[in-house]
Amino acid sequence: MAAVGAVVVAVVADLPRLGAGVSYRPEWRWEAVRHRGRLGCLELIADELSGPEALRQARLLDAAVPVLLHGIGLSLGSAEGLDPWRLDQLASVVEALRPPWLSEHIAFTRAGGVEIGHLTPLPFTAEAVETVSRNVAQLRATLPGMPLLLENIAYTVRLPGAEMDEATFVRRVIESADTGLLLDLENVHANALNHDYQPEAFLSALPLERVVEVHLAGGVWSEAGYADTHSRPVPEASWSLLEWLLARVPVHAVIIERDNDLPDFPELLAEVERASRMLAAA
Amino acid sequence: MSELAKLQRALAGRLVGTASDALDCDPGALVAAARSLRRKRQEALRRILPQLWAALGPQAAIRSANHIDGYQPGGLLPHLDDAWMFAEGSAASGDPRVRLAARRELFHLRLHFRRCGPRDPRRMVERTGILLALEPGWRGGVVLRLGRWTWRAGWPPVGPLPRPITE
Repeated sequence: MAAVGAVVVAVVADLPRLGAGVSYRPEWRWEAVRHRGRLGCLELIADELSGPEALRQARLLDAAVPVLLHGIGLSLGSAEGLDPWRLDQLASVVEALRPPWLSEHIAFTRAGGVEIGHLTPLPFTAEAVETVSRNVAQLRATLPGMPLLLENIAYTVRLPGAEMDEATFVRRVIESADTGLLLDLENVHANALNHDYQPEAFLSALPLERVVEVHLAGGVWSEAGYADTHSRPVPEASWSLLEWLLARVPVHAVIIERDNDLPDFPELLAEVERASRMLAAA
Repeated sequence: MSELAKLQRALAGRLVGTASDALDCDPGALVAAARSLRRKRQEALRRILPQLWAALGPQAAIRSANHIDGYQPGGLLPHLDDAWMFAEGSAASGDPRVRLAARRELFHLRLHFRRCGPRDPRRMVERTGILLALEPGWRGGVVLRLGRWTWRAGWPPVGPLPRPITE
């Protein structure tokens, strides 16, 4: 395993340095093309590219700004395994766009025929580690040669039966599945607030040498705690975590995520440029 | 069934309200998470169906809550699947304003997507090929969709079609 892990780390180092960009929204199509010189990359949700026209639009965008693909519905943590038709759909999108890497989440989104509609946490157990690893192996067999990243999620409900802490769980998943890490710093910030831990200590326990990409976003306080709603500017606490991270490891891409209460594009560009400056200074 | 599979089924059921299996979790956190998921679905319905939401007025929250209780979205684009079924249910409303708004929302969804057969797990996919359709309402136009090109004509002159909704 150590030798394979060393290979993955070497592959991570060879991935392109794209800089900072945004999670793509159709509302921003023309703005993204217009400001392509100020964007290092655009991240598209692979699940939303549901047909030839959506793929054609994605290729047009890719001609202007490098496109990354991010999955949200594969449910890599499902004990019931992956949906074959979802896997085929994702494979066809990846084949059409050939992004530098593909990312998904350490989570499950369906069970027993129920679609939850949200990234739901896994219990921090060895069985969950093995499940993600098995599902990632199936994904890798479908997409040979495509570098894969897994992302840490935000959660409010602590599941029973934990055999390890969250950081150990994420580390074991990443090492067992042998993938790169998409580090969502806003999720770390949210979990640290909701579960009362020091975010820097959490980050120190992760396999940081495998970090390829970072997500930043802003959330709000709700009845369930601090919620990662992607509806506000990135808070200073998350910017500080990026600064902490960049002092330790190189990062290939930083994505500013915004899904709700969409701001004018220049407001988003200001955040992209702040991330770009930090990447350049690192 | 594995322990993880059992836990995931119980949690999924509790979060979407289809089951009430016992779970050794903070019950308050579970209730709050389930409520947050409902709000997320309602927010998506409001965003995807703005005309219908406006026509429903103060009834929008109640009607959408009833819809959420009775329908499990799925497929490749679950938010759109959810919106489609909510609009379809509202198209049979006794209120003519709500009925027209629902039919117009369905019209725009059908311009860009089509429903799959009942055995197709994708539920809906992007529309391809030719479509000739009459927009509902007296200010509606005739729309011809040919591949990726769309033309819209009407009298009095009608504006451009809204951009396709992809989320």
